[in-house]
Amino acid sequence: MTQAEIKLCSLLLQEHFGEIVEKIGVHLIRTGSQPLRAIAHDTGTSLDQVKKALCVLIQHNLVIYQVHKRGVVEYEAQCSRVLRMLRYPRYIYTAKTLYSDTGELIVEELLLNGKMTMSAVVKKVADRLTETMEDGKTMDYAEVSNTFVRLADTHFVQRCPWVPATENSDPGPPPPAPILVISEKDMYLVPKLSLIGKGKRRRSSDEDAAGEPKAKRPKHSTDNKEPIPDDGIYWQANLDRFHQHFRDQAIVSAVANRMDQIFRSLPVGYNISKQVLDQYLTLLADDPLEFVGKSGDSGGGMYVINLHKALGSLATATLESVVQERFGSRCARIFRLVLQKKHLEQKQVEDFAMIPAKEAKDMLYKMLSGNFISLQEIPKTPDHAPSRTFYLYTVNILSAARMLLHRCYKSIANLIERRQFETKENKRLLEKSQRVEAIIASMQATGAEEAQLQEIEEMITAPERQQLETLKRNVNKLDASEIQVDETIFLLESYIESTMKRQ
Amino acid sequence: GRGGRGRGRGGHMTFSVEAVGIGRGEALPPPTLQPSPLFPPLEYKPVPLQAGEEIEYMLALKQEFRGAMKSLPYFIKPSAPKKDIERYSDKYQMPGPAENAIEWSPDWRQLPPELKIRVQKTRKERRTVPAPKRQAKVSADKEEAIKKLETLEKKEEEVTSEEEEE
Repeated sequence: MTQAEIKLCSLLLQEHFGEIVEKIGVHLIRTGSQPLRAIAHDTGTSLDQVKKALCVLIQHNLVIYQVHKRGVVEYEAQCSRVLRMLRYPRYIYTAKTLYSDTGELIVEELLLNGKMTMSAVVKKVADRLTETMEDGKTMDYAEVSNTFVRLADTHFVQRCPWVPATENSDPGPPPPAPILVISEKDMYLVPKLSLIGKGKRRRSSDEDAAGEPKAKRPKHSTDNKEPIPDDGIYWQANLDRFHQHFRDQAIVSAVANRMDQIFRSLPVGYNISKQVLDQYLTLLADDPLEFVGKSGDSGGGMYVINLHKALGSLATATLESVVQERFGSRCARIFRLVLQKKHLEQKQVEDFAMIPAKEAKDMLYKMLSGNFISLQEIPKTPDHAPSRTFYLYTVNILSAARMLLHRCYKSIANLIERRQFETKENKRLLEKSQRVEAIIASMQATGAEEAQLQEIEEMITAPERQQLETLKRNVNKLDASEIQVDETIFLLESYIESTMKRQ
Repeated sequence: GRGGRGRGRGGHMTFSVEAVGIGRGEALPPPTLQPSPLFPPLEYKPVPLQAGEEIEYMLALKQEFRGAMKSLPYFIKPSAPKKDIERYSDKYQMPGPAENAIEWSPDWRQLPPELKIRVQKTRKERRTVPAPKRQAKVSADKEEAIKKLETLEKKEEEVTSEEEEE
């Protein structure tokens, strides 16, 4: 794990779980697998705090445990899984596009809570959806269940590892930790539940200002006394499946502008409309199987997708784009040239690109020091004498992609830090604004007059309002940038992973 | 390194610099003596951020998620700073959840038992045990003890109903 990745993990953990979980999580990422007491000792944290933190991390699938010899349990963090937190909004949004609001909330609840039983998810989502519906309307559990089943069938949600059922006639000593198992065939198996009920609205009288002791929240009124039908059967979001979908989306949209060409080049006899062709190609692209076949042959012509090549193209396009935006279009031209010709000498670059020597040199060095291109030595003679060696510029896509990926991690870390800084700078004002909003809300609930509300609103001065507007705009920009950089991270990681698999 | 040799080209390089385009006798640029600036000037204006409904929605999702996580029990706040001096308001403040108690219920069947925190006084099973202790305290200072009883009861109520909420 590079320092940049660890730094980013630290920021993500701290933002979502607080400093204590962050300290434990980062420690495990740095040191690898460790037992409980060692963690407490090395981090100087109390044993209880470490226990709390580990429970949270395990619940959220960020840490796993393993039983080692002599019964010692060791905990291991999954750094790459922590980084996936950047992508949560994208997972939730995708669920929305595929399975509408119900799907969206199911995935959101699973990500918020790490693991949940199906019955718990269904109830929570039904409640949340009911809140948004008109008075008198409620969301049926059955409808939410159906969506859940569809998500399981298409593998977007999956079972968490479970405790195997044992006919335990042997009352031996309890193991130091339960060994959890997972099986391919049962991973998407939905328990037979007949969840009957409707979502419940939070009654307005209970929406009082903060300070209500937790005991009074009527979240589960009478249901909680009933036994849970799917007790012990936990579900989580299947991030890999979402990644598959993103990959397919990326490839399809990259190919989309070629659609016209394909359409025009189809034989006249094909009675297929553009829309239908579109659909077929999309379906094929989305299917995890790769069709292999000669295009144009009998069978209606097969669409061949070479996944690795496609990912390589996307990664290369990303690199080209970055070179263009950082160094200008002439640099980009040189970059594309070297990509195309694979290896070029200094002189050849100048000639092919038709750029004067001095400028070409300058541009090549800029890209060289940015690690977008590299120099390769080709000795002419066995003694590798420098005067008789070719020095060629070349683009090593894999290492350039790695470099850019590393840069992306740094960028996001910077974006998060800046956002936290902006928020901290305006902390006082933000708190004041929240207090005012709370006052207005409670006044509106008790039917205050317009004039009174106006008075309260004026507690925030015009320049303060301006400051809040600016803050909001900046925070939004920074958040949006994070989302965008993560898209690039996804492309680069996909390409790198695909390349490593082939080696 | 070669810090002091900036003038002209005194030293030998291991490769022929002509091959990479540095002409004969041409001076190399001076060595860099400090780290690059924190905010280097941008040569080219950055491309504007993506816009549109999709991005707007994801932005809202992101911010809501962040906010939601902060109010869930998985967010562990650092322990309250130790009291420096006794304050008048302390008498009237609701004590927070027991310092050590975990505020949500993991499924212990799927976790190493060593992660369980033993909490005194507030666990359901232990309700009977502290009773004698409570009796002992009443005799000490009646008013103070009654207050403590009230807060202890409230604490237990919280934890109990918390447990019932699953």
